[in-house]
Amino acid sequence: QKIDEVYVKVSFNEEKLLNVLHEVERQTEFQFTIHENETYLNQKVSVRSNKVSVEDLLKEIGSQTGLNFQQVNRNISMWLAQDKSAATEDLTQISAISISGLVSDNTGAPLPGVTIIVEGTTSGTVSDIDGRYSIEAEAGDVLVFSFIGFSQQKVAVANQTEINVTMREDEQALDEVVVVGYGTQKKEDVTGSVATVNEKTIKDLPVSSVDQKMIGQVAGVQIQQVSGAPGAGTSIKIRGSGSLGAGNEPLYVVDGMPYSSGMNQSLNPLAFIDPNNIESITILKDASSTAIYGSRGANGVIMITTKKGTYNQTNITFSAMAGVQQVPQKGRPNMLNQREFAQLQRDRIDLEVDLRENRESTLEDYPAEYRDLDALTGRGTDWYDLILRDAPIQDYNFNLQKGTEDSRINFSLGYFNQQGVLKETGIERFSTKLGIETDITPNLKLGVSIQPTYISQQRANTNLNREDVLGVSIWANPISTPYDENGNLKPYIVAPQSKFHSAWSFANPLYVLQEMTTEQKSFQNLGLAFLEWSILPNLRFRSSLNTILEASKYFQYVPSTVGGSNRPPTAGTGNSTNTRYNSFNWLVENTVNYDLSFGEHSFNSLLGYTIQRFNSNNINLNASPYPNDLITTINAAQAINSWGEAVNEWSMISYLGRINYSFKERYLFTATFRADGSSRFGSDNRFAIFPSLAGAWRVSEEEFFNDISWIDNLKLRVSYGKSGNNNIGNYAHLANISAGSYVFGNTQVTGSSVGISNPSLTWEESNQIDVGLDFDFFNSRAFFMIDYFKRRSNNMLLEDVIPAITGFNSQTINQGSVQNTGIEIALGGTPIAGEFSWNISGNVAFNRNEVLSLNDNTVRILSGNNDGNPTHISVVGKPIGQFFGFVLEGVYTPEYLSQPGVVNSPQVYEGNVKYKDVNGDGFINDVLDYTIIGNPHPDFIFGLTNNFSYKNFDLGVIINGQVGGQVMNGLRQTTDNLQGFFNVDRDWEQRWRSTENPGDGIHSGVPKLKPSWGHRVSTLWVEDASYLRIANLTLGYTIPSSLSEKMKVLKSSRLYFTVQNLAMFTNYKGANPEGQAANQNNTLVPGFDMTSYPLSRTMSLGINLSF
Amino acid sequence: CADDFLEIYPDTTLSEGNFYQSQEEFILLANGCYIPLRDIEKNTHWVIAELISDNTSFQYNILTGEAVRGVIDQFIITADNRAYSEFWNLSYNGINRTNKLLVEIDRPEVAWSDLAYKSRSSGEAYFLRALYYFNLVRQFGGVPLVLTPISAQEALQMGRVSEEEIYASIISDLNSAIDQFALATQLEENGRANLNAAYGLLGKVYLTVKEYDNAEKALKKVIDSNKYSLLPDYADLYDPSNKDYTETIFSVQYSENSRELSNRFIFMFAPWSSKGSITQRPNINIISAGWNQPTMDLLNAFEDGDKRKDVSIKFWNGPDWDGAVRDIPYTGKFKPPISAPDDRTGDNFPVLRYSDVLLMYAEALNEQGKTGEALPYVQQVRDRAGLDASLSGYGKAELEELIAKERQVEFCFENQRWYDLKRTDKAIEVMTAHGQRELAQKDFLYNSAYQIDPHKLLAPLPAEQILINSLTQNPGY
Repeated sequence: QKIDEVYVKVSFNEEKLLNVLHEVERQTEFQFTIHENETYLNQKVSVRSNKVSVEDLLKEIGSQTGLNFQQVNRNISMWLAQDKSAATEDLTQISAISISGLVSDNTGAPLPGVTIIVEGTTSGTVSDIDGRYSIEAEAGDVLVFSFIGFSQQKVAVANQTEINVTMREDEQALDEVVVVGYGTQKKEDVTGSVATVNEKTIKDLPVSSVDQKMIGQVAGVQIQQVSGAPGAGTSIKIRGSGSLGAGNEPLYVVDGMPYSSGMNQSLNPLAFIDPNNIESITILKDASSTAIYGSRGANGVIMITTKKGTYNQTNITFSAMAGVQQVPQKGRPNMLNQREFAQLQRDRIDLEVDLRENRESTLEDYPAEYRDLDALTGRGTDWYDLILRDAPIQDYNFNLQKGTEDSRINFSLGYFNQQGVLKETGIERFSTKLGIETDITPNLKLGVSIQPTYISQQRANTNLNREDVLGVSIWANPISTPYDENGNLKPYIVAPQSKFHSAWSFANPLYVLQEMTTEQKSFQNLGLAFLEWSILPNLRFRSSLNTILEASKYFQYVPSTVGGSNRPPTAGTGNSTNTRYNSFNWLVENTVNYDLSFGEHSFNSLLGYTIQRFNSNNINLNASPYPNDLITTINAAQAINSWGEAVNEWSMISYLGRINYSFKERYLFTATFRADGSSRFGSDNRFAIFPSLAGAWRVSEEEFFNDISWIDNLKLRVSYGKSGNNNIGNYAHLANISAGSYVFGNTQVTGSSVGISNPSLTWEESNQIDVGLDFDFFNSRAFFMIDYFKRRSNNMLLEDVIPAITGFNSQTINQGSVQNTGIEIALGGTPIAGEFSWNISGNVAFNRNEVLSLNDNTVRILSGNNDGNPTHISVVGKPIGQFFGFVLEGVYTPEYLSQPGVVNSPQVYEGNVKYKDVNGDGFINDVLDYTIIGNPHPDFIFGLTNNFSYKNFDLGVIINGQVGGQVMNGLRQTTDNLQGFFNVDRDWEQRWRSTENPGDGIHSGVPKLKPSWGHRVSTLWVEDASYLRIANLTLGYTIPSSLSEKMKVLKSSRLYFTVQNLAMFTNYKGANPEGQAANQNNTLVPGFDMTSYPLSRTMSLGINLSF
Repeated sequence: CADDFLEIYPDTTLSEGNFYQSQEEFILLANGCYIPLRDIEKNTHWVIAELISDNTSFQYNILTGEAVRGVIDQFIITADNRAYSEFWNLSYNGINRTNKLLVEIDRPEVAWSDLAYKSRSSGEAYFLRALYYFNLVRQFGGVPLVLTPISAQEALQMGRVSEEEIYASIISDLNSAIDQFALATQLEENGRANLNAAYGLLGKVYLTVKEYDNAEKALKKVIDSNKYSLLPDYADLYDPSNKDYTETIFSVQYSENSRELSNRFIFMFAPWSSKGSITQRPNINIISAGWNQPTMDLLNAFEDGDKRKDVSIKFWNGPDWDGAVRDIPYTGKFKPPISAPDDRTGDNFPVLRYSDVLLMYAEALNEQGKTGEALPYVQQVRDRAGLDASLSGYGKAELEELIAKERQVEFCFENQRWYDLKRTDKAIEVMTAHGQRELAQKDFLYNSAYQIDPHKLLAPLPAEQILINSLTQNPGY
């Protein structure tokens, strides 16, 4: 039994503490470690309570006397915070064996506050701030070492006078308190579906932001690394996609501040949070836990808490990591080699000569470069390889935490530098945090913190289209060379040409990377100030101010020496883009907590009022031409060609509340509500209310369960609630006057028109039911959790089609619904404990997404764009964003063409591509003959983490992956394009060449007609996206504490070697099965991979020191 | 307090609350009424008013979507064709702008410093609304008649009205425009609709509904205004550096100064295989060009010695769609950009020219049996074209035929031919013959090309509007 589970009735007025403690001992089974001669026991305390938990009672006593208490099973030890010498005084008075020693944790860091008790007695002590203790015992005694969060250790005294103990962390116990919205809760009291990330497992992963660390750790959280660029954002979906028009990214809450939602592929908003400063991460998944975030909670909430100081402790840590990143061979493009490419070009010329001059071609018809096939050996220029490099990564963090009895300070300093595997890209971060908390009086606490971070990022255009550097490097002519005879880099590659052969010339991608500047510099500060007042022991008031200040500038300069496809560089054409952005976001929160217990009932309630406002300003300027490329600031440009300013503001007022009720500690209920008023909502719908209800039954606490000893905990949870998604744009409900222009004669004028308003525009609403089971067994060495959920999102924000006679074709409305149904399982345990220990945890999540209804008028939403044609479709009854295109049937064969009734068209000839005539009208038409050709949503996603330790060695392996789901490789529009400007995939060696040499029957011949349509959106582009990735492998060695102790100042140290993205197993041929084009909406156009910045494999070495 | 905190209006754009203050805002709104018209002419009107006719066809090119334009040329007309929906949407967008202006202009709080501006802006709105409806009714027949701003819910309650009601509304709007413009003649500006444009359009409307006496009266007003004359050289009409307002009564205005203001006619109408040699902008990809290619029928319609032929039709010698080198005809009325570096051209698109007024006036007279009176007006137009042989002795039927031919060549590529064929009840006959000739010449046409069913004289209402709005589709679709 725990001190918070046992209640006492006490009423004292100015009573000696000693008597109070004796009274508690009388009413309960607890025993206090009391040294009768301690003067503090004579202090007078007053407590008046009908019924109070021992925990709360002791807290109250603590606040009156400055005592700290520690429960160890039935024993409760106590010590006066500043009294470090108490133990040594005892030493002189007792004549048994004097034992002393050091208690440390498994990293070798000293553990203060560990209770040491002579088994079977009430005598004991507590380790001091340096982890040292001394105690008297007899030779036959056994010492029991206990500390919350660690497994209990027992050591027989025998004749030892020095006993050093290393405490092992108790994995289960660590999780005991979880952060939930607006507070913390004991794990066993949680009624919703809340997952925590084991910070220890992911601590040493060499990545720039915490989201990348969470990969594979939590069931039902899909984290897609859509780009491998340094600092690039990830896409996170919790329990699938529930919105068509308002985004599916979760809400991040950093130290209570709703931080960001929405994905930024260029620069991850979480990159501003140094992962070394993070103490805990909680993911709220079901509606009962997210409803407290109201209109922002529908996509789940990720709560990040940063480190704080600890009372009466000083911790100084330093960590350093350095490594190298490489692009694995797997996933690199496999294109035609020199000779094959030349042959393809010659095939094209042959057709051209025949068409134009009706003769066979001769060698002279070919460009000189293609004439001697035998001289073309080897692969030729590997442009992709040319622009990649092995790139260093490094991360340093210094952290100081110091606490006295009434104040805590936390300071950290971090530096992170990651150069990109794509040359000339990279990110650099300087981060710091300073936090101070102090108890002005025992019941009044004040805290402030600042977290300034500066990021400088060098970017290159990738994940966009075939014209970006990665696109060009994939299709570039392998026969051309990047360097001239003198070894100088060529700025522009002129493709071999002839009378019959025009081909795309292009800017040398390496030259583009070197000469073009694209940089973003951003500063962000997270500020927090709060006041906490314990008005009564069970009534607390907290008021806080959170702020986020952000300023950034973006600069791009394209010098005149950089050309484009078929656009040679022209002197004096340099141009620049400048963007300046700043924003300020403030939030004031006032909350009151009130706890009440009587009989077997216990209440815990929360009420809050919050107010928030955001504003941002963005100015951009495009300047050109620059007379030369020497000065690139705007003043050197001849003109500013275009400019703009955007101002965005929103505000929000919220009321929130929660009641937790437990009866007999086994029947738990939670009710929450939040009312959000938002400037984004139309005037007719300004306030939104989000209620939720949850219940849990701790079956294992029932009497009939007492006999089942192998089950430690069995809890059944059910929750239902509503949360919202307010990412609907800041002014979408207003009718704006939009301006266009017109010209009368030579006079240009402005022409205005009045838009259509929707005063009832409102948030999206998500209703979710969750049923879950938590199961701990075998002395908490194993656990199993399963959740079933059904989430239905209604009132989805849609661009609805409206009758055109209104003057408008669409209006933003709330309509339609999407359902996600799924099962999440997490399980794990410690199969082997002891000197060699093995810890395993795994998770798997199945989610089924279905569009239940769209707007009233249309039955489908087409999205994506490839050559003007859609690539995706969303229809009722199917998951969002299905791939949409032609079904490739192969090539036209003489047998097929000889059939009667084949519709004749110039595109119907032997060897040309044959698509399925889906609508059966005899013609092949874009869109009309498109059909669903794939599903980007995986069948299930999984993660598996193994941690092994033996003596001072530890080994961790993280595996994650997905099964099912497909990816569309958009670059195939180019790399399957035999029209001939581009190099094509190696598969096209199997192309149709003649009736005698028909190839594999899938790959069509060089097209006779220009333009051909052999490279339309088709089934050929859709590939299996299943993958299994060894996401991380870390091998660590902790220097034995005996050794580090000798170095005096050093408490502990750990060395490790880690490999991130060790291996990826997939059938996908592209760089990244999770790739996503940056310019395509990843809700309606999911799984569209375009020139993905490759994910690197990172090998690094690190050290963690603790002083 | 909470409401104030939550009430946020955008700083960077105007919103409706406090917009309507003075004539300034209404001039802006009136200017805005022209914008959909510009986009209609630029992108879509020529497909359904010229390409569909016997005047023009296209250079074969599979990539450019036969599903939209090529099929219309071949008279394969379906309700899901984007050309019709784009035309429908833009037309009603324009109508809504005029409706909004006409409703808001009477707000009492508006401070007018000169009421003539109020008249001119109202006149423009009435004129443009009439023009939008006139194009709609000629394409679709009766359509929903929307004369005030409506919500989506109200729109769902509105059905189609008869063709007659639409014409009545058009005539009423044009008369209102005439009344308003008459009060603001001192504010006329080049390019804006004005009094004579309203009379001229009214004449055309009456001609279309075969009220020849009313047409005669309206058109006479334009002639008697003495403000307009024929340019001596037909080629000057299409010189982009010399925007003309002596023969042009109303034209849609373009400028190469910006993407929004410009059109790209030559980049659509040049043979796509000519790359940059006609457009003079080699960097601009014109892979989806080759439209509105003059047909043999049009070429043959020109009389020998007609100066208009060389102005209207040019030839480019080079590889055709199949690679074979030919003399490929293309329209000469639209010119490459003067100085814009890319595909921005500024040729205005004529809606009403003085020669149109003359030929319409002659037609109105001839149809009323006043053939002799009509002849000089036709003669005037032919003289300018270098066809100065006297017309004396032409009978009514002969003159009717001559006027039709004159209109075909005088206004080729100006979106008149299809409406003229329909108006004169010649569409079936002419298109059937044309279709047979096309099928004989071109082997890339669809098997189902040129089935000239009478129901196709009315365009199908856009399929999605039928679905959304429960409108009745035209028969046959």
